[in-house]
Amino acid sequence: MISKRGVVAMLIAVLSVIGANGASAHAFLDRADPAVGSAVTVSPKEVRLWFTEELESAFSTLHVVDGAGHTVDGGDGRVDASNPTLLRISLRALSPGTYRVIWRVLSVDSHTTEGDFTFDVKAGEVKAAP
Amino acid sequence: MIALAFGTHLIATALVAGALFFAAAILPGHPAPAASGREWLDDALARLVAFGLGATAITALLWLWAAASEMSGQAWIQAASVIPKVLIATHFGHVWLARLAAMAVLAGLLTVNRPPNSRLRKGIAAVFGLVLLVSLAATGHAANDSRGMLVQGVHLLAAGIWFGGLWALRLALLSTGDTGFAHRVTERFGFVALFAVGVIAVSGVLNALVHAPHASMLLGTDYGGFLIGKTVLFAAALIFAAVNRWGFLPRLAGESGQGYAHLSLVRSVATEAIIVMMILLLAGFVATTPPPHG
Repeated sequence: MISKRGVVAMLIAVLSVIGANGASAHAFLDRADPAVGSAVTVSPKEVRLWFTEELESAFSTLHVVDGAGHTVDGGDGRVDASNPTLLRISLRALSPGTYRVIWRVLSVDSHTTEGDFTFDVKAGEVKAAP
Repeated sequence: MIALAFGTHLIATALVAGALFFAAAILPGHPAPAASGREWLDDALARLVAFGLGATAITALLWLWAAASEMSGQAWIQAASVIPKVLIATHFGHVWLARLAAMAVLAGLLTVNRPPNSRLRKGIAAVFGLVLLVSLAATGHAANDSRGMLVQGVHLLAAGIWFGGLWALRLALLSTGDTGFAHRVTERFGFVALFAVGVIAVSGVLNALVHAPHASMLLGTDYGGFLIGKTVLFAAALIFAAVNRWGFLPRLAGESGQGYAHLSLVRSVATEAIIVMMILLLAGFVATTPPPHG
């Protein structure tokens, strides 16, 4: 028979493993550079997306297109080797216009999420990033 | 589709783990008198576990295929070509392969030792079954967080002991007209099930708090709907458990053979097991649905 002390010990053991920082599950976009909906005056060298979970590089993709739907990225989208929550891709020199970033990622909890956003490169002030 | 594949895999795995645990830890160590039908029971439990293990293997393949389809974004037919990549290059694939190995070892153990005839062998088989079940925690929402994985593992462990144990208890009751044996086995399982239900409730609440810290986050979302459905079914199963424990069990003592209370208990245990099976199926949807993102 289970004693009251046993039940209390079990409850304490279970409660002790829980802290305030639980996993949110599924990888959601946390932040991006260039930021979502932003306007930049310098053509960015790359797009970087940070997610709320670690990503599986085998099934995480990222690409960037211009207003006409032409690819403007370097085709080297990858999960950062030192930070598994970061997905990055290089860009060609961008002329002024609106660009769409399209991503689809698989987190290590085996769930996929996808999304897209745009950023603008402003006319008249564009210069290559150092 | 992946929710159904995972849900049925969870049901099959829980059946195996719980039935093996029942055989090792709930059934009395010494063979009951011949009248109790112990030989029939051992054979029936072995067949139940073999059925569960076969279902575990088939549903594992379906789950892998569904996961490959989901991960690649391709239709089922095309997704077959992606399965090797899933197995080699993802955390899910590595866990899946490890679990396949555990399944093979368990199948081997049960084949060379059918039915298991020593306490130690039954214990080893039960440990493998429970590990197979608990390892599912490494593939779901908790896979990113070690503490969450531990809580989820405990949640799965308790659910398996409850669910598989109910089906095994039903067989134990059907095997005998010995009311003393029936009373003893039901009472022993009742204590374990009570503990398991408590663990399920606590770990379930903790899991829910991790993914949806505020109750309002559950309203109007698929995740919340599945979780509320699980809770309602859990409450229904508890009602049957209470009727079994405090309604039918005391009345067994006044009967001889398989009387009204005995057969009522068999039916009620089966009903409770079916409700728990529905909970596990819903768990497949909870595990594959994005939690509210606040």
